[in-house]
Amino acid sequence: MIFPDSRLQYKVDCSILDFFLNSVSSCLLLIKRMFMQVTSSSESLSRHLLRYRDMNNLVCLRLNNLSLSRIASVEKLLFVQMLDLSHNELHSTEGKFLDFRCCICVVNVTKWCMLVLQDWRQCNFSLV
Amino acid sequence: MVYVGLAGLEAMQLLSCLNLSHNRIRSFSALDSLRHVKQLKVLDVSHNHIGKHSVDTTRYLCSSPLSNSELGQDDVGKQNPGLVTKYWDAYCVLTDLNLKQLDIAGNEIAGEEFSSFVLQVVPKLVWLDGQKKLGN
Repeated sequence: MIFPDSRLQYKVDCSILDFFLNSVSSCLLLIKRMFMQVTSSSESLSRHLLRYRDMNNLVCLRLNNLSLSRIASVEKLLFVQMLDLSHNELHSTEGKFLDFRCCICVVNVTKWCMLVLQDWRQCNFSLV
Repeated sequence: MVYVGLAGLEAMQLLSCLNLSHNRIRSFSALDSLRHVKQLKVLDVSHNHIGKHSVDTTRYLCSSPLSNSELGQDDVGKQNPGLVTKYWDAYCVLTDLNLKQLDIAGNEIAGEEFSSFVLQVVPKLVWLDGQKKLGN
């Protein structure tokens, strides 16, 4: 990938790109390891699901004591009425990476980032 | 600008009970997304770090009392403006929730003053820290 302007521009942008991709990928992999392990299949999810028949068949999902530090991929959990996230390492109920917003000036780099990041299908990805 | 986002708990619109006890939550502003979960009736945030840190970097997520013209103008805001300012992030989140039960014990912020404030902000609350509210 060579930018038309200059070689110097190419080196600078590559270091920014490396930093950005390393940061995002390490964070995404961390989240995949945590929430996705539980929610990836109905079999793994069912191990954590309970149904309280004496409470109007309330669906309870117990994800306690799993060392979770971020919330992600709740798309598969929309039917849950009771959620137990106790004894984890959560700092927030937010699921967004506010820390990973970044500005990349070169359009080509941004497009390339999009292609790489599209591998993580569970992410909502957009250009702002 | 590239923006990567993942949905948080605000997407779980059927959620009525949420246990977040024994985590690392540092302020009520970290629970801001729960304001959109209108079915939420029971919330346990006991044994976290709420009120422990004097400088909370998540506070910027909640608008300040000086910048908001509508919030803080209710009866609680008029009677106890000092408390509303002191517990502004809790005020922002709790006023939008329809909680019946709340557990906040085991946090630095917990105490008589805060419990009294919570009962004013959430008049429909029935249970606070395992104690039934008088008059219910």
